Amino acid sequence: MERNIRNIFLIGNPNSGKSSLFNQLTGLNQKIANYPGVTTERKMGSFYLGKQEYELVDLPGCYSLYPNSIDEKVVINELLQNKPDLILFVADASNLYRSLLLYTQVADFNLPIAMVLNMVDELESKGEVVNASFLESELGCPVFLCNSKKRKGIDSIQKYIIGSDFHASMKIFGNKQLFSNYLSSSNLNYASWHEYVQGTPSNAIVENIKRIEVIERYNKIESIIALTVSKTQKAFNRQRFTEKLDKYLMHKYYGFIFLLLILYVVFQTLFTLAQFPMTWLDSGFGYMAHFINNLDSKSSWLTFISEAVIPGISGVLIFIPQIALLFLMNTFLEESGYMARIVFLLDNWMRRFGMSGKSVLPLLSGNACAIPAIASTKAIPTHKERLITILCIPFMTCSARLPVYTLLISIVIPLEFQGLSLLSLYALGVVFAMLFGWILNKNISSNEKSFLIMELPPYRLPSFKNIYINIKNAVVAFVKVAGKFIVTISIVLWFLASFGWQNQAIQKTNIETSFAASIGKTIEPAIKPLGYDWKIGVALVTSFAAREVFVSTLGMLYNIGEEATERTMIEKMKSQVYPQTQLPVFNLASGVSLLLFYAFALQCMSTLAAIKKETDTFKWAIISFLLMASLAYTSAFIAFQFLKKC
Amino acid sequence: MLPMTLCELEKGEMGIVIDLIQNEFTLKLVEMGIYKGRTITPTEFTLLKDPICVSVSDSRLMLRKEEAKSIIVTKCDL
Repeated sequence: MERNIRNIFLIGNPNSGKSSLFNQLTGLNQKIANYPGVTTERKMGSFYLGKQEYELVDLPGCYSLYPNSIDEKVVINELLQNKPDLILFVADASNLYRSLLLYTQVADFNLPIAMVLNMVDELESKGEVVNASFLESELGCPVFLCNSKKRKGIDSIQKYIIGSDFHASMKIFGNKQLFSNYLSSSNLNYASWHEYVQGTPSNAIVENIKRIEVIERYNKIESIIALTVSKTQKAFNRQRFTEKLDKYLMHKYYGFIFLLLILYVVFQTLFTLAQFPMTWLDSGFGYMAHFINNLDSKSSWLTFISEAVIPGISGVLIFIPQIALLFLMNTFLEESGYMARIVFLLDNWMRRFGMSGKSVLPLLSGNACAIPAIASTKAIPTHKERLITILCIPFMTCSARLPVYTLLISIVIPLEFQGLSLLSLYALGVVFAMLFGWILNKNISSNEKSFLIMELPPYRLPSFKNIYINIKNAVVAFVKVAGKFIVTISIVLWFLASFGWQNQAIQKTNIETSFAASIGKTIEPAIKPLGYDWKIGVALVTSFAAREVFVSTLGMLYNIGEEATERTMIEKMKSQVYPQTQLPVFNLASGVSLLLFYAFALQCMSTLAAIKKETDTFKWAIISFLLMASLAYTSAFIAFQFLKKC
Repeated sequence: MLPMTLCELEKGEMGIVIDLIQNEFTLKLVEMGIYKGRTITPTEFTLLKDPICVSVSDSRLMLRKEEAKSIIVTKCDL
């Protein structure tokens, strides 16, 4: 028997508190999937009221049903394709004028609808009060006053949902005659108009009709607001407070100083805080592997678990602290309203590199991990700016490069220059990301006009619940998607490194005679001009899946025991010499060459998978891999050949 | 009053929208509440006046110079 689940859509403007309401109604019972065909996330959650199960779909925030970005297209598509049992329309009371534009459009679809009037306290702080029963009769649908962050008004919404006495709005706001030249008289309704608009290429006349439609709606809205909103005594005025704060935070000079300070604090916290749990996880898994191995050192199953499965799992979990903290910062900047100010301050600079102000945060997030950073480019409305942002992100110094950098730097760079070298590598990432963006901007043609028309929301205190749920969702998504991948690769690499072709059969062997070694020796001629021996070649191959594997592979190759500390590893690597010449393998020339190689090569399968997913074609994943690989090879080659003579 | 573009208004000066030069983003401007007859006031500028922040119908928006140039206003004296 088919389960009878009732479907509810959540629709509203961006920053209207839609997600807070979603979190309040569904709690932690959420899942995120992708809409078929598009890369936009479909946020769903289910909940029970009595014995009835409900499924709530949180549609992306938009201002009207004529979409401007991939995210916004989802809303009109869902409305046309799926008929929900109920639409909960979330309106920001302090910005009722704009909320009602979208409301009247959605109401004209003639589907069951109710309005949740959110942030009533903010309206009151502006010295205005809304009469809910007047609004109900003007809109022809039930209206619930609510403050979704503080759970105020949620009960009455739940009661309404249980009653399931849903009906469409009693009123129609649009003017049908506007569309009469395009639709047959039997089909003369707003939904058919949108179907028509979607099916025909845009032209000046249709655009003009859309504009007239919107202005007519606004005229009606003005009279609705005049009837329902009245002035009262002013209390704390958030709008005023925001404007005063923006005098500094958006100032043409001071604004940048505050921006630098805030970003510095954000990223400093990110790196320092993430370090603790990462070290604990790392040593915890190290002990676990050691313990399992010691149970019975002859059992090949236990070796498999301790050398392949556990490192694989730890390779996934080690990223969780960073991803969690990254999303903490991200949600905080977004919910507090500061993100819009970052866009404002940096849009002009970013445009010179083919991107927009909205690219700043994804790029900065790339300093932690490219995978969530690439996923967060969806809000960028123009295709070209979004594509360039995605392709530039892998240049940023992600956290997986860090262990490689620190190891190599401590081997080949004199102590007094070590900090400076690390800093230069970060700067190198930023410079090349921008340079790449500049080159792409000149070479990708686009007839799509880029624009930036964005609301500046008032400053608000973010809610803990929203932050927590966002983090949880991001972590779960990462473990599911990247997790499978990293564990599989880790198992394959273990197989390659511990089996080899001996006596016409595949046999367990040490790494010197393994498949990995033969791969390393095969590519040795190609990497010799860069100053690498075959062991480094093996590490290059194994770290193709994920850069940080470089360190553990070298550990294995140079026979450094499990108990080895970083110090002994550095000593051991420093003492490596070429058998013929007795010259050290890791010297300034080969070290710098390796650092440059890792700075540029796109050695991360998960990032490639993310690029493929977000651009919807293999083309850009392959192009960026090849471009970055050739840049890595060339720069490593030049550095080695030049430094070797010094 | 002489018509001018939104870019020519100084910080804090109020203008009344008298026309929009047709563009790909005109519909978006209308949706955000910028159309004939509405009042609009620049509130913050970046270094090159691109983008700018404007106050319109009780809320604030940021616009690039290109968008601002397509908005024709007359200055309105308080």
